[in-house]
Amino acid sequence: MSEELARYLRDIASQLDVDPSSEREILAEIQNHLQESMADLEEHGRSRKESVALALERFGEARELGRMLNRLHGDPPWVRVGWAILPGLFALAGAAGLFSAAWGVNIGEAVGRIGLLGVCVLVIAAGWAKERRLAVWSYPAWGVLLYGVWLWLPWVSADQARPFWQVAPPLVMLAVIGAYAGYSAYRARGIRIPPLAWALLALMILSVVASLVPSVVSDQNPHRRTAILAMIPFSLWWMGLLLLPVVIGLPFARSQGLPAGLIVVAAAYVLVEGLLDPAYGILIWTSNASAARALACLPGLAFLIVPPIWVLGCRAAKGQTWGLVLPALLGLVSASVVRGAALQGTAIAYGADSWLRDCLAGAQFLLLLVLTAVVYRWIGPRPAQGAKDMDCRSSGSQSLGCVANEQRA
Amino acid sequence: MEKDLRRGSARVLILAMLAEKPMYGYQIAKELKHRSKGYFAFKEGTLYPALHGLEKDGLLTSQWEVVDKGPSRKYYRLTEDGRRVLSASAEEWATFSRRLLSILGEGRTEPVSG
Repeated sequence: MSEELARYLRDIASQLDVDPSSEREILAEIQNHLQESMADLEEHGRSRKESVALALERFGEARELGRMLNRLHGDPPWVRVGWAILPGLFALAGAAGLFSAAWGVNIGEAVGRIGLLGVCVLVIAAGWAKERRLAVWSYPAWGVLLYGVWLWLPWVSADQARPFWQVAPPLVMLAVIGAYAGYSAYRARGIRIPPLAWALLALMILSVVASLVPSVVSDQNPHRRTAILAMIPFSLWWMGLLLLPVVIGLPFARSQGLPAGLIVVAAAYVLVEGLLDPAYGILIWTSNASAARALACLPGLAFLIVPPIWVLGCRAAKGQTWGLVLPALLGLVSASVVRGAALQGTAIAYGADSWLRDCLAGAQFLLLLVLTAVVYRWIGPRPAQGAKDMDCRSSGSQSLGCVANEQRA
Repeated sequence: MEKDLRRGSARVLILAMLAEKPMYGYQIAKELKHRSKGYFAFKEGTLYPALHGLEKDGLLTSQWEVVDKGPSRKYYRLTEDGRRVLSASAEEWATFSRRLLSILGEGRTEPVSG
């Protein structure tokens, strides 16, 4: 099979969100059509290169065709969107205090946390059962599932009174995981990590350290240098947490495409950042508890509900990227505005250092997405199963389609 | 306008082709182009959404068949529902064509009743 034909089929496949057997059948039918068309053109005196180009031109634009076929074979959009936003809705319900209101604080919080993990597992299992692979609409659930990892990891605060050995275990764990990941990546490729990835990592470290400096400065601590040094372990811990979504998002990006990896990174980031509760002081500002809860949910809404709807509704990579970045940044900004308004006129009023911290949080979010994209490009996408099947067909002695064999079987 | 008309007629053309005998996608595209002397030569890829749509609506069935030389082919054949829809659509197109021509003053010009 020519490279042009393989690329053309990949472009069609990129727009299909159907079960693998349907996908293989659709691609086999199109491949057979194109190969027959090319053979006819060659019989009529065209060169191999000309017949490939002409056959593809006559067939039409690949992505548009993929979209048309997807509309016929895929689930209705509202079903996929419904599955995709289910974990986000559950998380927001927990953040809005619905479970606590129904069952009391202790049981409500437990239901919120364990239930959220259960909903994520349910969405992922439903995707697997339905499509026999990781369904695109289950990616947000994977991202939210990382919240569980975050909850169960030993919490390390920046409490300088703690002895180092109490802080050390998670740091050692992170160091071991990081070293192993780096060593595996190095061995797998045998090449050096691209300079851009190093530069982004350096920027990440700088932004994490910089986000701690404002609090030290605003404390007016006479021993600033000591205070900053004491925060280094916490900075490393925080850095590890921020990079965790990248490490987990990359396999998704490799197997399912970059937007999938970015969704996971974005969903994990928002929960690790704790953006679902941006307005802890909002009740100082208003006595209306319902209004306070509704306002508190706005940033979470921008992060967990809008991006899945946007990304699933948009098939072009550029549109999907905007769908991930824009609502998330709006979520970050709205979190800052809500917090700023809530704390206005109080003893812990929002100052320049708070705004700086929020700007750095936004920068960290963007850096994480860019880092995922850079590393993904470096390691390259995993060869698609569909492409392997197609190669299998074209290399067969009688060129009999594997799909056709599967159908007959 | 001409493009819209041709696009709108794709379903009935496919049904008409398959009324004669079962065919596979490439064969339908080639026959259609040949019989209409190139007039109905739309992008070949758009044939498949139309075929799959007709199959989903129960107007066609499909089956993979092994051939001696070359890749296996997916043959489409008309169902009974497909024949009924083809008959109704052919009648609609004929009526549309007659009435349009009568207004344009071309072809037969007898008054249209009803």
